Amino acid sequence: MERIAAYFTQYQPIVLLSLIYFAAMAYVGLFLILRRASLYGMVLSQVAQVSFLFGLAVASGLGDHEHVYAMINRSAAAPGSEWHFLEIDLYVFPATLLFMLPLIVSAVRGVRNKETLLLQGMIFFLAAYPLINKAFGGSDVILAKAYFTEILYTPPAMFVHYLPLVGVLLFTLIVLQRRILLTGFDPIQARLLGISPQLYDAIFYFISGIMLSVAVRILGAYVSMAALVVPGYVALSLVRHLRSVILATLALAIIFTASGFVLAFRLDNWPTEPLLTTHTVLFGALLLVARWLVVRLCRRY
Amino acid sequence: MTSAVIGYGRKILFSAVDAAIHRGDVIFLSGPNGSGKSTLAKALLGVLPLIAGRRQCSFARLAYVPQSSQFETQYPITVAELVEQGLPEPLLLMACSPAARKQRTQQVTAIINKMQLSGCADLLLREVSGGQLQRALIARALVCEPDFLLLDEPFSNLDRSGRSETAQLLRSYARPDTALCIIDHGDGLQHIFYNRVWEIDQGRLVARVKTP
Repeated sequence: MERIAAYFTQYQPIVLLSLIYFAAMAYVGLFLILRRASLYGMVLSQVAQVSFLFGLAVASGLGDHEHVYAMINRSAAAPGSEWHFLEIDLYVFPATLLFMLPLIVSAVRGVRNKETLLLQGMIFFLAAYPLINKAFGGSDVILAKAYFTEILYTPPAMFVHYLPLVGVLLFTLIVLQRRILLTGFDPIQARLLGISPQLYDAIFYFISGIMLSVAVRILGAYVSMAALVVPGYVALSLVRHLRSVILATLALAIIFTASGFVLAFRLDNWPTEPLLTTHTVLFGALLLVARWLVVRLCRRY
Repeated sequence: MTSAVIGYGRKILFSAVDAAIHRGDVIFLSGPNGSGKSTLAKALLGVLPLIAGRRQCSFARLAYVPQSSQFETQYPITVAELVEQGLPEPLLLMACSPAARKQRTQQVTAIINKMQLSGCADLLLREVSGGQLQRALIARALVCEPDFLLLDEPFSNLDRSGRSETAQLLRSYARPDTALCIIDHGDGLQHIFYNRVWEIDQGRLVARVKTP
């Protein structure tokens, strides 16, 4: 217990800031689940991952290779080393937009066999990752650490740097929440009310893409994917009304992350990110089983 | 609609549709399965752009009742929230004045009571029966007091008494200043009053005079 408390004190800012990012992703993920577009989120996370590496690779080609790759190999970065966010963002964000655009177009326009197409995109981006890494001279260490970012070694400055962007995107999503829900739920009714489903779909997928891109950079691809789908899915099964579902999603996201960090601090020689990911999925599954048992018992008695 | 070409992308379902709907019309639109009734409906409402031709609309408020069997019921929204979707959607509801929000609630409550849905207003869509969902969809369409109402198979999920009640409600809605278009296979025909018949026959819209 003392050890866990000590770790919490040591990593307090990182844990607290991770909670914010995790909850933000869960909120976006709930919309994706309601739109039956979870697979789109999964592909987007891979696109974000590839874009990040692509952007880093281009940046490293122009500057200090080791310095730029420290964005991934965080535990090996020299303490107090500077993070040139703006320099890297200059390459990462255009790459993200470039790779994301076909996905947004396919989501908004609606294509045949969308799931299969998205799956193919996901396979492509998964396979493209090591190739881009190899082409730009990235090491195997980079590849090994790419999918599970080292959250605890992430400088709090990196969390804080993207916080205003995430805040603005979240605020936009909250303001447009009713319209985005309506266009996802019944596009014909939305159109009759003068609301363009294409416009709001594009806005939503653009916002979710950018938020995912930032989350993948900070939390890692798999942790972001878990944050995206698990809290929303569990909340939809546990509570009934939409408002309660939104609140439950945020609450579950915070509970999953906080308890995941407790577990990671308890098993301190285990890798944190895989622990956070599996813990989130298993905790969610446990809650669903518990709910199923309670419903069965209530029906019996 | 004048010389309207209707379809999706390169797939043309109707090549030259000339049709007009006037106030006071109650149109019964029929046709076999897959003939494009729902597509024509979307074109009439203006939610499906015409490939070619012209569409003019003098109705101020259009409303649509989709087929309840194909309607998404897994969203966690209640019957009352569904009905509220029929009202104009402000960008930020919380920014509206309390009076406007109160008026919104009153409009929803009034139509819910009229449609005898008050008992299930707080139930989720997946928790209500097919008939209740059908009535909720009609309530959503009527809450904005439309002057043109299009219903896609409104009797499909209803039992005999449900059909009769719905038909009665639609009859009360059919007035000289409104127009109504009902898509059906013909099962609900005996329940509804109508004064014009449109039939889809091999990609053509054929207008017939109602036979007594």
